[in-house]
Amino acid sequence: MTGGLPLGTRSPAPVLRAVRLGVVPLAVIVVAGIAVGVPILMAIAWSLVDPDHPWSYPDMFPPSVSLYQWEYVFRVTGIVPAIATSYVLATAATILSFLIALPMAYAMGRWAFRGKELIRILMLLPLVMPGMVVALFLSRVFAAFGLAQTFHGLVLAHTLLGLPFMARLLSTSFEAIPREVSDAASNLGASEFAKLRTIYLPMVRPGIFAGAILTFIASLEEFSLTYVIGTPDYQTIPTILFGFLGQRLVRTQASVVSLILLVPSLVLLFAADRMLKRDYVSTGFSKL
Amino acid sequence: MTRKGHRLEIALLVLPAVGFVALFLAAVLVMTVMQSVGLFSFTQETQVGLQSWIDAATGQTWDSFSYSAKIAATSAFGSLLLAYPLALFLRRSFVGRPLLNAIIRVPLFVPALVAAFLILNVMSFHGIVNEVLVRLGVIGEPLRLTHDDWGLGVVFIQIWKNLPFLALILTAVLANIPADLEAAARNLGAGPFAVFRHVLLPLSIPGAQTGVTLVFIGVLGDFAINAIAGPLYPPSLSIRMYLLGRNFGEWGQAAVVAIVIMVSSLLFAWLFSILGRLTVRVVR
Repeated sequence: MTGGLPLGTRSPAPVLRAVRLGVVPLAVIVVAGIAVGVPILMAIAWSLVDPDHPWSYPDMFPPSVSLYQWEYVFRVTGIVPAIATSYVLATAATILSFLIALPMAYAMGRWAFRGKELIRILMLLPLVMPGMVVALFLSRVFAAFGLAQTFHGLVLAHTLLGLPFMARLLSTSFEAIPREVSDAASNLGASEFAKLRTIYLPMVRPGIFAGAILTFIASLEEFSLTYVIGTPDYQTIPTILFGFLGQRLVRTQASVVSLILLVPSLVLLFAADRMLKRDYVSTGFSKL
Repeated sequence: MTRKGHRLEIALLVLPAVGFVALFLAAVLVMTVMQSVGLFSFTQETQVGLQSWIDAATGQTWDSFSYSAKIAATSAFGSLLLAYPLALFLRRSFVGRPLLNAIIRVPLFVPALVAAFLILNVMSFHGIVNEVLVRLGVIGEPLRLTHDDWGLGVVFIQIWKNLPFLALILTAVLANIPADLEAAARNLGAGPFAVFRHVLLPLSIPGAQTGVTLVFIGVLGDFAINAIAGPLYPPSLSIRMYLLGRNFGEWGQAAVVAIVIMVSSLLFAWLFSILGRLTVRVVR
């Protein structure tokens, strides 16, 4: 390339190249950044509005910033018990899902057998079934067994929706263990239990972590089941948020509760994404 | 290895997970079907028969169905139309691709209710979108973009949430197309458009079909986002089902609507598989 040649006068190719490699990607990134970033930034801004200096129409930015809304939400609404319920419920559902899914995942990884594909489809069904249908009619079943409006009922329901994530991540992890490794261990005289402890579990550990994170988040975000089976006795962060978004939108408080729900999800899911280095998380989390 | 000897072992290991899911889903399905024909009821006197089906077959149910199907189709195909170019673009290598990948992943990780609020907040009457448009002089006064009769607000939220999902599926599908195939087509004189038209497009249709089906089913049965940002009338199918059961105690009719949601989900999934096959045949 001859230096100092004004771009575009004699050879249009470099300009086109520059446009293709620099300007177009930049434009796409900026558009995507605005579409994704502005809604989140607006929520942050609204959660910091100072009630003494209301933010309204002609102002582009809040005139004054304060933590009053956060303090108000924590003091006045039922968010504190809701956060506790959400996290205890998610932990219980994650542990139960893990205990239920582990033996299945082990069998799926260890042996080839008929009906495997069928099991895989069955385990995904709770995600594809319309959430409100499951919620309403499961609540009818629960009512018949005295489980409606109970914490146990909520744990069982959340486990049902968390299991697909746990089952999928655990069984893909077990299936990814190379046959040779476990055969070699057997040849060297390792018992099945020794193999489980020294080979399988260390190898599937990332899968367990990611599965636990996904199950935990799925439970944390769950709305329909909690709304039908739990409210009004048990409130979680999503049901509180739903209350703020109803007939009258309380923007400031809804912003605070949204961020309380959003930030842990984002952090944990990006962590899980890193941990697996594959698109398990994104595809897994989006019902695939 | 030897699978005969392990049959019992496998069955026992698989039982907790399979049993749990099968039991709960079967309970839900049996409960729904029985209630729709008046076989199971603890609250009121009902007679066995198709009364609930007759009662539920109203213009209102039809309004809810066509509204939900319209929103689902718009959201699913709208996401697809936006996600496809994005996925094609992500095939190239350019500076900042990891950044773009991270950005489009964010909505995927945003809880549905939070996504609904985020979009509601920017699209509302005095939201930033309306303010910017008014300031730029594009529109004279703010537009009603949420709770509108058409359901535009719901579609915005669904597309924001589901576009990354479709982009991700399509990226994965496109990445699985062997590079040799593209190279061969180019060697035979195909330009970028011909490669797209005859290689990439037909091979990516199964992925697009899966994505569209999942988004469609999700939106068809949606309750929360319609309750937050949807029109006053018609209610979505799920809202209608909820109101019938919970507010009016008409569990029989609610069960009928539930069956309508599930059966139409299956029918639409089937329709999309036919559509996918036809499209492959046409574009190949």
